[in-house]
Amino acid sequence: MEESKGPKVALSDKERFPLISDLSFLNQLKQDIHSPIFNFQSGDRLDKGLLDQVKNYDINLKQGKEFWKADQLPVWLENYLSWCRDSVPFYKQRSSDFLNQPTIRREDIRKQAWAFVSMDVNLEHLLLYQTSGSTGPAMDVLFDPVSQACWIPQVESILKNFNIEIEKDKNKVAIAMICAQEKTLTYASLSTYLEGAGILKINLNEKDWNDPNDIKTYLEKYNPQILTGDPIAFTALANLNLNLKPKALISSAMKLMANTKSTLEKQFNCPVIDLYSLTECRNIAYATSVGYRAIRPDLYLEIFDKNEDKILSNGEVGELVVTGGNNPFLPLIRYRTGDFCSLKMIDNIPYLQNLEARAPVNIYKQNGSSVNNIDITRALAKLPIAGFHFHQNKDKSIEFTAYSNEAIKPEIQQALSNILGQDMQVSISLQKVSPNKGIGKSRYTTD
Amino acid sequence: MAQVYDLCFHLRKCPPIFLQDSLLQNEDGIDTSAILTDLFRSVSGRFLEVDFNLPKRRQLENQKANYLKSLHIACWLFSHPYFIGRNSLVPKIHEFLFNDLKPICDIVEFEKWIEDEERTEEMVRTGLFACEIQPTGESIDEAIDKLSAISTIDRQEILKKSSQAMKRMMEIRKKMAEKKAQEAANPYGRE
Repeated sequence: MEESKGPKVALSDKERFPLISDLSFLNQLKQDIHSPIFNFQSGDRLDKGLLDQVKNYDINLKQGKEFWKADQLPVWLENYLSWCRDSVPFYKQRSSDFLNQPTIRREDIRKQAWAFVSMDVNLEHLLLYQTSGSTGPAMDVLFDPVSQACWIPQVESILKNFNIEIEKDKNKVAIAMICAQEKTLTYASLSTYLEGAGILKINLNEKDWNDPNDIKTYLEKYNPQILTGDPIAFTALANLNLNLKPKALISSAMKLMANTKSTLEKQFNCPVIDLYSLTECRNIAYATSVGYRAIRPDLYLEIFDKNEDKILSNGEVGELVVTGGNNPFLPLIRYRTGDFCSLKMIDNIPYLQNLEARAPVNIYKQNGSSVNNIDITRALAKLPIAGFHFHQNKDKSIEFTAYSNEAIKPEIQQALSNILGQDMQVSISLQKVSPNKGIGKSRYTTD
Repeated sequence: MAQVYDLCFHLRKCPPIFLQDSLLQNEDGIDTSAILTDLFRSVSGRFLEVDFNLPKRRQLENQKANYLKSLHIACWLFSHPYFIGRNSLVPKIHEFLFNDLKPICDIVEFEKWIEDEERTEEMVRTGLFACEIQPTGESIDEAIDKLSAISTIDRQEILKKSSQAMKRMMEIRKKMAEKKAQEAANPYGRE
């Protein structure tokens, strides 16, 4: 998710952090002699009532609330549907039977984001992001400080499975979001939920620093506990060879290839977690050896046929459809994510298997037989590629652009030939990952 | 069973004299109390009866002219042979004339009951509904649907609701425009 186009600093620190009176650590992060040239300010905006809601959410997650049993609906679903029908204009005329609910798409939200806002909300809490539009037309996504701050307890619930805790220390940086882009908003902030611990958003682009050496000095000095970002940003960070000791890296927004994951794990000596999330409902699941494990019992997951409103049974690959969440500014009932996978319940926990962002694309061999792009992704997973663009022309020839800092053209050629046949014409372009180059999500396209 | 079409045709033929002011409010007008008494005598078949529990003169005097003229028109509707001699309808017609009709007359001008086809049908259907009479050739659900589709009160409710929805939409859009230009709240990871 990219920030709104050109938002302005508009709040006081009191409005950004209603409950934090001691802002000395924030000032230290901002005024450090080696600090980046921060170009923005941000806070979590949690007052007492809102913070309590985040804490309650955390308690529910920690209590290990049940997901749902295979072939059964979650216990909360009936009340949720009834609340949506009563208070959300978009769902007013809906049937009271969940199984009769039609699916909705990104386009429904894009056209009338306002219609999804519950009548129960206080509009003063409305916050807005405009998505970058990298996967379709830009879209306004409405949310509130609570659903935003709940990112932390959601991630804490994942980290617990790795025996990792985020220390709530008001003299330490808890989370640093790492970017490697030409231009992005950067800031130092605090987390009220983490009792005043620091939050950073950093761009590795040297233009955002007074001295390029400050990147090393600053990040090593504050040594963030958790680093978040995408595989491109992490690869750029790894190239800087900093002496950082994060407890975990949380990678999202793009597919994390297996080779890149293991390279990062070696470099940073910590787990690298591949988190699957969407702007529309935030965190959904994280990668494990048996698929993406769902993390939120408040988000019901179903698999639907790509073209019609037909539920597919467990194990069948189709479009992931989500219901629920905790954002009263965008309650979802059967929202088509545009991502494809199959669903398997293991010990009553849903796992997304064969997850592939966006609809599967059929790639054709020279002899006319088709290959699923999922198989190509798997074949490339073992190579040190941070991201890629695979395009098949009308004459079936392939143009492949990979983002990697290693000379791996022959290995890519070999992997693609193994899948697509030796007679396939493949043109490979390698692009270095750099701290200032914004790169879109990995994708497959055809003429 | 009653034919909606027949009753509409009858209503549209309402004599001009029924459209005059009430004598209660204009000395050149027609006698509302007499029209009402005649109606109830015809419907009940009790021609010597004088007390049909009609509103007192003073109560009628204070009513809006539009309502009183609509009352005359409704009396013409119930003067159709279909209603004559059906004593059981008396309390229902009473309820219609003195309760159901009044709020609609705050919205509908009396001429519309005979000039506007939809309003003509609305008065016929509302009257039949009050009398618990099922229109010929329609199921109860169909009759309710048809009445609901043309009901002034229902329409006003819809418009009111639409206007509330419109107001809410404008508020949210205004807030969205403000917030789009402002800082939001910390994101912690990429999406």
